Amino acid sequence: MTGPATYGQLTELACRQLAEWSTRLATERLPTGAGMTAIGQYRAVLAALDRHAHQVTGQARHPLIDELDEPVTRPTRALRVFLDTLTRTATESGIHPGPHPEVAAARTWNAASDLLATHFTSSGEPRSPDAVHLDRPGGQAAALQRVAAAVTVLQAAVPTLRLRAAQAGVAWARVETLLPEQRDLMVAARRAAGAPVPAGWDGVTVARPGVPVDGRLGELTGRVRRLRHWAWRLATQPAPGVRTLTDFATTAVIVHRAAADLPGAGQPLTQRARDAATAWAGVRDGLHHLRTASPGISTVRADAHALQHLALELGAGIDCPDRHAIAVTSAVLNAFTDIAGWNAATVTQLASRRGLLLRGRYMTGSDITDHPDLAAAKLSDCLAPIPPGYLDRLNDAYAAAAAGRSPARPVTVRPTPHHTRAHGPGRSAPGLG
Amino acid sequence: MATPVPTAVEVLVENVARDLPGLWSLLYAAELLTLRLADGPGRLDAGAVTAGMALRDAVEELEWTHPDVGTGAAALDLEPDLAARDRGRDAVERLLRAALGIAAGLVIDPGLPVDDVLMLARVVALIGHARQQLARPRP
Repeated sequence: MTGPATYGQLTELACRQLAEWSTRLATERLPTGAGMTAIGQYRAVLAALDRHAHQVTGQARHPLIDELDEPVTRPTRALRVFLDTLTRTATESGIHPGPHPEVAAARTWNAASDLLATHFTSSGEPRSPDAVHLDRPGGQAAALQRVAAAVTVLQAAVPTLRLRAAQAGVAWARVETLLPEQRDLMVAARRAAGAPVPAGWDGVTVARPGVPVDGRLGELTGRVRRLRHWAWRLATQPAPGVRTLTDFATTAVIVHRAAADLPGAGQPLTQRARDAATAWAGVRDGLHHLRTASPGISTVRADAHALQHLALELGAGIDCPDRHAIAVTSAVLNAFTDIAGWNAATVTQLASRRGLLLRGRYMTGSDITDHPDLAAAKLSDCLAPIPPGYLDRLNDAYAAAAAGRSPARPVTVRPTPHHTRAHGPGRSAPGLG
Repeated sequence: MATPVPTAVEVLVENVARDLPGLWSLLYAAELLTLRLADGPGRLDAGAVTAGMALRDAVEELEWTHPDVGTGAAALDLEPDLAARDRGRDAVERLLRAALGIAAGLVIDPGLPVDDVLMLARVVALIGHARQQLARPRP
């Protein structure tokens, strides 16, 4: 860098250093004995990011910011709460802050904090003309976007760090204590980042019904109820993201497969679950290639993930199935019948607004026959509104999923040979129609 | 004439460009292969299911930052031999190791925009998560 370092340069460098640190963790083993150093480095970066978030939001300058309930301050508060939680967890689990092992990313984040600190006196009075920019909630939220992105990267590296630390000789029990496994952390971090959840949706997470935690079955029922509620809401949203529909379908596949594996459930339930799982897999494959302009909803994602883990645990026989378990399973399958109906309505509405896009290579010959624009999309392999034929097949798959029967025909075709030159056994590639 | 999955994977790994579309091709093939492995008959394979979800997220991370990254890129949808699932898992592992190699090379490229670097770091974490899940013992 020539001249004095700018805030933008420093934070960009810090992000690059952090990305490099976390990537090296994923690609290379740590030297034996370096496990605790790496955990210390994680703590150092976390402390630096926490300090930086405080520096940006200026807790000392605005002790009342937590009481402002404006859209612009909401992500800021969410990030601060998230960082506080992480820091407290780390401290409680025994990774104490400082003195930290040297790590470039932490040093650079601290340098960026120091840079900001030069603009204010210790009592929070401005010392420079730039201080006024740093003091606006809107500007702070913008600055925190990058901090939030860095926190996401740091937290995403934790599972890898756990593995590498154990490989480098830290006892597994100690790893478990120092870096407890935290599900849905990516989701939590995203939510903390405040993006890319569309405006107007973030308040909904607060109003959601709570999840009972009295045992796995109670939680299962609660999560399914919330998913069902979301499926209903989604059908009336102006711009739902297809990712959320995929989340529903993936969850449905896992839940139905797990239900089919449940011993003692009786033949009708098992058969229905198995057929519905096949139908939902068809839905999922059909949705897989679709794109929308809006992202998925992180709350649904969190519930879907939790439900998938619960279903996998139940399916793996951790809980011994009894009559209560079977009754709950039956209720869960009924909920997914409703979800299939609402999801189909969502898809149809999205398609009617030309909001559902499909890559050209997945359109069949009959899909494009009467549509010159779609034919052009197929030739150039670009995104185009979903062909009516594709939508019909998708709706058929949803109907099959709701009825608990196997679908009559697949929604998707395999890509044409132009794009894939290798095919698995017994598959011939459909030609360009 | 059908190409065996390991051969197809090897061809992809050796010919793929070391850029974002190349990374997309590897992750896309790995995701679908994992999905097919998880969908096979028998007890639900929790490791493959979770790995498939992580890889779906990784593909989405790429597509969210670069919506056109998949246009024209090689998109392999391989049908694994479900009688030899371990070979299918080995093929996924081969794809993921190649993907990690590309991502690690791109992350240290000072010419790459910082948003892409952060996205790649998240992708790398997701690949790592998927590999750990696939290494779990099967039911």
